[in-house]
Amino acid sequence: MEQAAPAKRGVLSPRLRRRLVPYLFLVPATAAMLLIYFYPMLRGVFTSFLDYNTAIGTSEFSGLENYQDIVRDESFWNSMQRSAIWVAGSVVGQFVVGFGFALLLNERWPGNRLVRALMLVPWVMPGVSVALGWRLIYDEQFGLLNDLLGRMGLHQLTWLNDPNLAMLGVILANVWKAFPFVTVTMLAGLAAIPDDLYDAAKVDGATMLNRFRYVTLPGVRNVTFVVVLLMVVWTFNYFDLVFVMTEGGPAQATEIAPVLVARYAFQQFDYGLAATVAVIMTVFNIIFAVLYIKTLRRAEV
Amino acid sequence: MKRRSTARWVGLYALVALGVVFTVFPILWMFTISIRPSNELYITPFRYIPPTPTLDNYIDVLTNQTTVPAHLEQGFGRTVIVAVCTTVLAVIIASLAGYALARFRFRGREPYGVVMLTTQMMPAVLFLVPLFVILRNIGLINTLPGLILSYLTFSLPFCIWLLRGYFEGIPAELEEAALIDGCSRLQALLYVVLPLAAPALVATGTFAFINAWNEFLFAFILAGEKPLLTVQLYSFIGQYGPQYGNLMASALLVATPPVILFLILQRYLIRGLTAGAVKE
Repeated sequence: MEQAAPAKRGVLSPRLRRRLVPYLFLVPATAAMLLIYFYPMLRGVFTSFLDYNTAIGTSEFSGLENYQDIVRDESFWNSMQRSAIWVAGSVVGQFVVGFGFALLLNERWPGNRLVRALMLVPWVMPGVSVALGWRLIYDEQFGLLNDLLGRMGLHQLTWLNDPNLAMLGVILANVWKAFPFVTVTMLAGLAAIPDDLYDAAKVDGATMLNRFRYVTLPGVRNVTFVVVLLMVVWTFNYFDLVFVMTEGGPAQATEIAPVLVARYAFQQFDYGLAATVAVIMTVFNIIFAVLYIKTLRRAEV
Repeated sequence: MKRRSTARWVGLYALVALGVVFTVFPILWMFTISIRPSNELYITPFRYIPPTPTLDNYIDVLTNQTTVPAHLEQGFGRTVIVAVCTTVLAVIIASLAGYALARFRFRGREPYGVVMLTTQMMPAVLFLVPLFVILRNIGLINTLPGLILSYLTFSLPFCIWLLRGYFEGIPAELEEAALIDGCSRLQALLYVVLPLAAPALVATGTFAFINAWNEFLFAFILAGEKPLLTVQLYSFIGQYGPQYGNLMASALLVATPPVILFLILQRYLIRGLTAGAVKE
């Protein structure tokens, strides 16, 4: 036996050792993820079954009570509705602006490279900086929007202080912040369409509109699907921008789900209820993650 | 290259101009407010170019001469520490894992990759309460190490996913030669693959750094007493009330490092941006 295994590395056969190598490489990452990701995640799920409120001082198992409370909770339903509008409005806006920009940048013209770089700046800026800037664009006294309305002789608005306009306000800021991601991704998708498809369509006498309809759109179908899914998930989870712009107000008009979680946890100290909302959000995200993986798989074939 | 009529050129550039205006006007708005004294905010109609432009707001903020001292230098120090440590840890751990996922065929490889991809889609708020409780229990709440650990929840899976993609693009022949020469797998990774993957490491590290720099939610909740730059910015809203010039100067100062970093390295970063959405 001592002859069979090289003495230096112990008792495992070389074959077994070779099979173990990949797992050894994964040990640090797996250990880290278990500790800092999956353990807190499970704990979060567990917390949703607790009556855990440090303001009242309770901490005990309560089964599904939080879930029963949440379905009767108007704030919860409000946050779901607000989130739906926030996500739908943001993603549609981001896609229209982002794809439009991608179509422009996909053409050749002098200055293209410069604009490609410039366009990405909003995406790279911290959400808090962006939120502060947009707060002042919406400022009632000297904000850009009211200034423009004033110059046109129109009635000025209170924007983020108006429950009917605040959601529109945060959505517009979010469209500005995140459209560059759509542009970059759609550009990569557009670049993957073979030129001869366009040439063939041209030879067949297709108009520009027809080439767009029958070559471009089918060509970017999968990328579009993936990008929209990603934007939906990120927007649904995105906290910084709305929180810094409005803190969920006025009158809960912009209280999207993650902002509600933060309010329950860190203003009402009801960790159980906060965790419950977070778990419900996670269920939505898992559904989107599954769709996303399926789309990626389909795109590979 | 096809030729365009004058009308189409005009149309094209009109659309481009529209896009550029949309992209830059909020930044210019922030800038124009940051370089004017507060009393020039309330001239109606608003003067887009400040009558008496000044750098006072920047100087006040940087030298702590504002009504409440900004102490951005403290936030800057903390942010650099957290962002650098998160980046280094994430890239080291992710290099090992990414290499295994890219090079070896083993049981569980495919699901491991899928899990790494989907972890990035889970809501940060799910971790907020448990991390808060855990960090408090082990005495790491309101500390930079606690924050660094928390940041790994999003930066590690992201780095693993990116590096795996890059490593797959590096031909295996070179390290096979090294393995035949008696290198261990770890040595092959260290001395052959990583030097070749230097641009990928830079790109991945830059992403991790920018993400950590820009992060607000965890920093706000888990280390509010040791505020990073983004948390300081948030607190300025209350502190600087009508001194919008100070506020905008700070907002732009905090945004400058990630923007500059990105513009310098964008050539390496574009591919990473679309990883996970577009197949090469």
